[in-house]
Amino acid sequence: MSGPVAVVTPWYPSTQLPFRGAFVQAMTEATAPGTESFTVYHCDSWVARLSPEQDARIAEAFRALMPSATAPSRTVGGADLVTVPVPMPRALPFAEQARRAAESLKVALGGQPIAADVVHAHVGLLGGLPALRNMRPGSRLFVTEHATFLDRMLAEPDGHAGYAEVLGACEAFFVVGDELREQLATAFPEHAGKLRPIANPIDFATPRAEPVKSLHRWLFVGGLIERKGVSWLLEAFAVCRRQEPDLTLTLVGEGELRGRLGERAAELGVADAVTFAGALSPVEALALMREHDVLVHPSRYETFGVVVIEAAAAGMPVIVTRCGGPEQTLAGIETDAGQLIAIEDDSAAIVAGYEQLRDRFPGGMDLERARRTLADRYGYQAVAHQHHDAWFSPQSRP
Amino acid sequence: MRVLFLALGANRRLAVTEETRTLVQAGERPVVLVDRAESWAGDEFAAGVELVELAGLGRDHWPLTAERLVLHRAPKALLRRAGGRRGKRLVSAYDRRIGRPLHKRVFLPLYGRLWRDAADRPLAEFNRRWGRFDTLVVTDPQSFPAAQRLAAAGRHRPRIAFRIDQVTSSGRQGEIVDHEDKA
Repeated sequence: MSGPVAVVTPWYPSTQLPFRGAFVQAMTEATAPGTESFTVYHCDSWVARLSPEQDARIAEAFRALMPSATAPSRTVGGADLVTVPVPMPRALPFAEQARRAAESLKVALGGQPIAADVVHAHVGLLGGLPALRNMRPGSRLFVTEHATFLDRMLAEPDGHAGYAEVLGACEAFFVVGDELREQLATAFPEHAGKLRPIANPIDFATPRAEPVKSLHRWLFVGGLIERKGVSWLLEAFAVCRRQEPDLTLTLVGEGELRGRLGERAAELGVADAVTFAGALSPVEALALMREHDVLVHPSRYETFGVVVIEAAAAGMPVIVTRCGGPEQTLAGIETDAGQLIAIEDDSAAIVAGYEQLRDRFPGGMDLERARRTLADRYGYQAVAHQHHDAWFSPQSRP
Repeated sequence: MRVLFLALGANRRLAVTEETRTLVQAGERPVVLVDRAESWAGDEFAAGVELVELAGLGRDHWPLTAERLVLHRAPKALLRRAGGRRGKRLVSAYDRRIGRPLHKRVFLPLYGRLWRDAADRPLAEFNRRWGRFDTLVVTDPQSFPAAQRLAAAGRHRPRIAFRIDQVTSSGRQGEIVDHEDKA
């Protein structure tokens, strides 16, 4: 192994947003051990309603204060975590967000380049550009793209140009899921050769205390937003609970639909069976997975769908929509892991998916086989090997 | 170790309530400086956290006293009396549409021009009454200018942090490291 390695990312779990960037944290935990040193630079966007005068005053104060910033904190895998706040007004174009992140990182580094031979950025523009602007000559840049808003980013001319710059400069560009890969290959055919598939690493180390015996305790983990299909989940849950009064539903996460979902649960007469657990840390969410029976994930679009694999790692079956990532991650083990369902704008597919799974449970599925297969594909060891091979293997060098 | 959380923008509230809780659990008594305490009415702080309202400080400056009397107290009393049952609502509407905007857009800039230290008075009073802190945790964009002024105020330069695990020791959650002791 070798090093040092630096990671530049706009997302990393924090007290304010404990879920955001959980996959970057997992990647750090998987890949940091064995490296000479590993530093994560978290360029954390702090968005607020600011006048131009306030914005300028804040930028000046930021520059004055950063030299007094305390030492990095420690994070997973023995890595250092440097938090770089990126103060910014609301609704900035993506390219401007990236420019500000690059500038803040530069201030945090005291004008010195990142002291690492390998720099791995997460999120093409928002992590890639700050990394590129602060690397020393001769360092090698790698990027992993997970963003679900890639189309909006590329629709902005400056965003597209910045992205092209990062793609041009990087040695390899990892993409989570085929859909993202196709999107990028179409937008940048000249760089299609650099695109490589990669998975978000998942922790398979902690097994479930007791195997799932029934499918009564439903769990949802994710943002309470339209894209996650959580409204349809609540409707489907109410339908199924009319037949099976023992069913419960736990919703982990926060979002704009929180209030409306609470009201709707009361209207449907299921409020006493629905628990809003709020935003939990990834560790807490994983612990909850081991206490629930089935993960229902009716998302409209996922590049990867990390929570689906985490559920399988926790030994629970999943009911998940064919929303991009999950049909690839579960390829070959669909029926072992649970039930894939179609994306529909009503609750019928979720209800039908649950009924089909319930009718064949526990037969017709092999959760242990699903778990083993997924561990080979997405376990820390598999993903660490893939990264280390790209970063350090002599064959991978251009 | 004395830790001050600067939360004048009140837009990263979960970080403030949870990270101060972590410090309290470690036996510390953090201070949180906010702009207005009413913005935090719905947030639960751990017992042992001291919440200080910046807007309530530095109010002994005579132009501000005069403004408060003429622009706020007198019209509000009049509205309350004349408005009858609707008095409370009228006062709140007056405050929202006239009182606060005028204070913010007209009077504060005016004080700034006439008395150079006017804008700094609340922070200066905070500094005088609460003394020095070992660490300032900046929690939102609006807190950076205040952190800069506080950091520059004395001979002792406090450390700046953006998340509490920069202050708590690495890998030993909850335990506090005094950086000066270590140095």
